[in-house]
Amino acid sequence: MKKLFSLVMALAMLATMLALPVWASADDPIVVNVIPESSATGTSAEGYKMMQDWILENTGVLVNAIVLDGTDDTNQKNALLNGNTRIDVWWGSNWMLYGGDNDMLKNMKDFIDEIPYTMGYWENYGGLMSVTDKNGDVWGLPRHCNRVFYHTFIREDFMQALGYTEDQYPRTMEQLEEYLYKVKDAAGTNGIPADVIPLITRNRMDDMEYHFLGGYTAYGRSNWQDEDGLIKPYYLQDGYLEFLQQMKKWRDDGIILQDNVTWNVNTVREMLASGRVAASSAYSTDLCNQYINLRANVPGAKWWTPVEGMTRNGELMESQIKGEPAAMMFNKKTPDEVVHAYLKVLEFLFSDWANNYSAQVGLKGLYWDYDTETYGEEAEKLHIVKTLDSAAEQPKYSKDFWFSIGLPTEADCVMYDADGVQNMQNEWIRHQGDIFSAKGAFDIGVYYNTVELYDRVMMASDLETAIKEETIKFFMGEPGYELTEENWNAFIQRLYDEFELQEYCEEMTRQYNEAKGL
Amino acid sequence: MGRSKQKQAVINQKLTWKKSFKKYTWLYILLIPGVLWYILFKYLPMMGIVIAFEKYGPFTGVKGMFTAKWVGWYWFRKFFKSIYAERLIRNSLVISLKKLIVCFPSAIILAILLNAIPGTRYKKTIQTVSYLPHFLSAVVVASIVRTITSTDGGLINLVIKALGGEPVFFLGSNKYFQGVLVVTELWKTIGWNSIIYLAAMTGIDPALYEAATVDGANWHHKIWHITLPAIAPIISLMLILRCGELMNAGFEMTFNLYSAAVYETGDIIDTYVYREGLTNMNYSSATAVNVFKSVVSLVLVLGSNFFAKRMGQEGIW
Repeated sequence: MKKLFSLVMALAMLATMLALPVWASADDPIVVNVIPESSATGTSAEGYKMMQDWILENTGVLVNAIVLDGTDDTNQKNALLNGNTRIDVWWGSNWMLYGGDNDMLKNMKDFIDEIPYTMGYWENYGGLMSVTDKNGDVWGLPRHCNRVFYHTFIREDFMQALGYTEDQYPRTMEQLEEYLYKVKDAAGTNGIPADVIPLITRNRMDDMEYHFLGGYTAYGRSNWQDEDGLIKPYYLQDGYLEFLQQMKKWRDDGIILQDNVTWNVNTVREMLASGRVAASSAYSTDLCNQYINLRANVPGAKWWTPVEGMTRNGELMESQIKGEPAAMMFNKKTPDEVVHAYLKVLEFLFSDWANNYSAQVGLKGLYWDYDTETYGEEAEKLHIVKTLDSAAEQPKYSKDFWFSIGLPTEADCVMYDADGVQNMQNEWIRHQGDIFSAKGAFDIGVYYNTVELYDRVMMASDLETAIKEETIKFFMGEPGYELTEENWNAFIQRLYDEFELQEYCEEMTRQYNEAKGL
Repeated sequence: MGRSKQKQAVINQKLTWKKSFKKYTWLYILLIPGVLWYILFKYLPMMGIVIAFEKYGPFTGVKGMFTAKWVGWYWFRKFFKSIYAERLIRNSLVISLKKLIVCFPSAIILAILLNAIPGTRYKKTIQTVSYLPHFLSAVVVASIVRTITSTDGGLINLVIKALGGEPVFFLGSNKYFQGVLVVTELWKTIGWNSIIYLAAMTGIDPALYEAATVDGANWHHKIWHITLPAIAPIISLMLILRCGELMNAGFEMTFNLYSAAVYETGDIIDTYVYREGLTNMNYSSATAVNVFKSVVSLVLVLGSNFFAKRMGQEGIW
């Protein structure tokens, strides 16, 4: 008995250590493994199967969407990519990181013609520029175009409670500041919460920089070219110190809460959901995708933003985010037939807007439909949709099979809830295309190779850490970091002396000139 | 001619091994998967240390370890050339030492106090309550800490304000951040770490305590002369093992609580490796830094084992 037990235990342990292969038959559909861009948002197993079968029925391709849980996506994804499971498609913030010496990417140059509908969306958004290298090779499908990401949204119901009429809504920095101080002073009266948070931002200076820096500097939150011909980073512009001083003043006066610098996106979402926030200069899909839930928590909350953008001294405050080399990437080891199969799925999703939207929220007719009742035939033309009552009875599904190609498709829809209030995520996304409402980046169209930058400038990474750390200290007014011109200039000089800032600028200039053919 | 005594001893030993194997064949067979597991997943992967000396592309897999470009000490030089290298090492050691000084004896003290509680039910309740934080994930604990220390209605600052003080931004202040980490670690680990000492104490003969009582010993005499000497080997063992982890300041909690505002005192080697090495898929750099950490840890373990033996205690080997 003891011998038998020992033998069984030994075999069982050995079996768990060995991965037994599964042999496919000739009739099996082609399988594609995809790590979608979005993290898990609670899709149930039934919802997942439903959508997987829908794609299989319509394309003959079995897509496995390997959805990450959102706690540490980048590292989870990198671990999967470098492990034994073949991942055929994934998204990343910088294709150059996966190309070059890492050599993980398939050249998509010869495949692009297979997806005319998909790429058609990008015609007016810069096409393949952000994913093409200097040799003309294409290393993925684009994800982020130039866009306006950082509108400041203001609680319209709070403004109305303070007696504002629509023509008085804040459109300049001075008006915004007046509103923020007014709402702080009115805490606990007229329906404004006693613990109101006048302005919320995320825990990074770049949130505030993208929202407001344009009103203080010539180029906003952008690289710029100095008189000496060098490309320099945004913090070296005249006016940056004044911007920091303004933000610090807001922090000292309680307009921005003290703890802000340590908040992550979950904390910001909780604050928004609590209904305490009077104005938001914090954008993230994670925040806004919850809007329908947020509104359920805070009935009556209405948000407003000036479509034309906010100004200070006649200058647009907001800065455009430059299109980045973020991309949908394809594994070099993936067989061509699998790539063809996946592109067939993409075309299915993007050739019909309804298919794309179904991949986001669930099947048409079960989860959503065009709101023809309210908007007639225009609803289908303008993609105005509504959530169906039957959606509540369907398996839970959200975005697992939505293979994003960015703003060009995301902006192309409008959604209203049962009260006729526009879904804030769509509201936010629609405004991302308002590039007239923000300062354009100086070096639009130039995609710096950060891998080369880090290779050639040894201190590049330390420099970026120093900026991140020290600007926060100035913002917080730490001892030794008083916001005087003397302190600021001493800090900049330190960057030159200790962190190779000159070499950093020279490398950026070299890459800029190379990209421009100068 | 007769065999030498040494040769005879060797032959006897061989016979003993053979006999042992013959007698316990199936147990040895049962042992094989475990040994294989250690070889496959612990010793074989050590080959990967070579990537610390190469410019390794992770996508190239195992083959890449043999074909990657050799760069020698490049990644080590790059780390030590960093302006922040000294700070990272200092923060890692200081936070770890603070945790050692506070948390290590606290678990022993808790175990002694628990051991002294007469009633079983009350004792078990306290034990259970003290263990529970161990099972909470770092993310949950960080969320609790963030809420409690918040300047916007956090419990601690409410008390400070009630006592007439100004709110303190604990998580954003370099003055307090390390203290927050240490207190959090104490709360999370004190119960769990006391288990091993409690287990050791159950092995102490109660007759010793009775004899001490008869001799007129107080509770502190008993602790000093009976309890502590009895668990001294365990304390020594745990201290040696803990010294080997001195370079590990606790990545999970630090990562979940820190921000750019407290890099000066909160940025440790592990968070740097995460940012620079793992997120950018620069596994060579991450490996180089961890090799450095491992070498230092090895020296610390060997050193503390040596000193433990010199002081009359049992070492690990």
